[in-house]
Amino acid sequence: MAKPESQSQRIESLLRGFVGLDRRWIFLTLGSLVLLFLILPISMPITVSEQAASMHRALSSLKPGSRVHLSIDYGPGSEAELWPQHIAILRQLLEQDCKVICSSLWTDGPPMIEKAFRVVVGELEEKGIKKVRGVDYVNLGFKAGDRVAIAKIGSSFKETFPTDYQGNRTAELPIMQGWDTYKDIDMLITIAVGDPGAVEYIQQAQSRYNVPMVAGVTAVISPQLYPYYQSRNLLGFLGGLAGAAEYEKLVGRPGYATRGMVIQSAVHILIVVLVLLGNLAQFLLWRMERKKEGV
Amino acid sequence: MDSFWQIMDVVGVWLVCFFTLAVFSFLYRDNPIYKAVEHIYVGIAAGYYFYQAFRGTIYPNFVLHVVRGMDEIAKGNAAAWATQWRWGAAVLGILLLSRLIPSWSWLSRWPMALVVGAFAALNLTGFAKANLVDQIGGTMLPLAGRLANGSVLPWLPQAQASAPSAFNHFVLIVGVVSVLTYFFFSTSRRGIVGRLGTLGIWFVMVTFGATYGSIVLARISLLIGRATNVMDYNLPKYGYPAYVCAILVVGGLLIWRWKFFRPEEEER
Repeated sequence: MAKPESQSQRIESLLRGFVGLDRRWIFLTLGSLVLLFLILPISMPITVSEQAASMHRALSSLKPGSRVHLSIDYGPGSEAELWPQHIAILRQLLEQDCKVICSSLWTDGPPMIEKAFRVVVGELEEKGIKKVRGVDYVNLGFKAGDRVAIAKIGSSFKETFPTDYQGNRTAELPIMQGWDTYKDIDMLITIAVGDPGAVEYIQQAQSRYNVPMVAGVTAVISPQLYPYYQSRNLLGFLGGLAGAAEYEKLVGRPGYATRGMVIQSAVHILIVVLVLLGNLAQFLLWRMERKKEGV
Repeated sequence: MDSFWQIMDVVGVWLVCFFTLAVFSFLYRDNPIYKAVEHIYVGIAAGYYFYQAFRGTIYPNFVLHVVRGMDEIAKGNAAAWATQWRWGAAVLGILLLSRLIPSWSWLSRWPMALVVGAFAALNLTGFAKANLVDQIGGTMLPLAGRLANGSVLPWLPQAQASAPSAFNHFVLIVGVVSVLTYFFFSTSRRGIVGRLGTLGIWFVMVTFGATYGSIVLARISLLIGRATNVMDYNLPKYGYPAYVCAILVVGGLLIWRWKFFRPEEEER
């Protein structure tokens, strides 16, 4: 007959079970939580950060007809974080009647540019605002070369991009008339996932040509940008889905990112609770071991 | 034509749902469904990248210029010969491929030297301005501020920074100095240098913590993105692809687990 377990033994086996928990249970809990909060109609308040507010001020100050270089340096892999930023920024620029010149340093960027134009231009058309490709906006497509490409774009857009994504000659497009370098650009915006991205644009374009610049990046990249914001190389930036939610609040159009913040917060609470419980369990086990050893 | 695009739309939605769930099946363990999807992805990505590189760079910046230049030359425009310098760049690009043939691989050193030189020069100037000069400027901040009662902090009365900003500036300057001291290896870590260096480690650890937090934030955002995408497409007009694909993937995993799975193969 098995000896009955004492209470301390039961607690110890429970703690050991928790510490050695199969990680697949955590994945399952996390996934279930995401699905649950995706279905539940809950909203939560969003606090706007200083850098997001500063970015909104910078973009709001652009006058109609201002030239904006919007570099889309991400692909479908980062769509979840950067697409809401991309849409919110593009919508604001076109509504302010800015001339939007898009390009990409990532091979999978040009289709994202096309998709965003299709969505935003379609929305504006429904409101009765007509935007014409080649006149109000253009997709210059992908360019290889990372930093070298950025430096080259700065010195001549038309030489770097002889044709746009549709194959039209860039020099003949109405939007490209009367200017060619970063000195003629009113605002440089990059929505970027990594290298090449925001940091490379700051080093090769912003600091060389002194062009006003803002950025939208993934949450992984955002800690790298605080020093550039401090030194005013960047007039503002958005970090990940949280940054996009802040921007949606600033422009008064809550969307996908705002919806995602509830799920994000719920999952973060779960992760924090698991980290705390894991550490507490480890600590209690350590104490029990020491007690057994008589220390 | 409209019906064609409608069919393609439905096919696209089903592919999104199936591929997403198939990739997530890796969370259970490495399995044939995941492997098949992974191989398909790598193959498509390689083809797609090659196409975009050709369409975005080789065609407009080389083929188009050279062909147009030749056309002009044929018309008797001697100045158009200047467009043909791009052959030089093309030859250097082709030389990079000589690494594939061991006996000719030394030829790749010339274009590689050019690439390294250009990158070094660009990085040096860009980095020096944005990461050194501008950052030093960004750290030169007023360490004084107005208090709530309107009086000015005594040690630098001309500064106009608000009291919270002055505190932030103080933290920033202490952080920069202490972290720089930590990475100063030319003296022994004793006395004030040792204490400042220890403080520097704390600043570095806080930075790592913030970065780790941001990484968690980013990864969860990606999960939310995929979940939202799949659930948004899970509509009756598409035939509930998320539910059907989930049944297919889970069913496939169960069959594999009971019929074909061998633990000793996984261990290898």
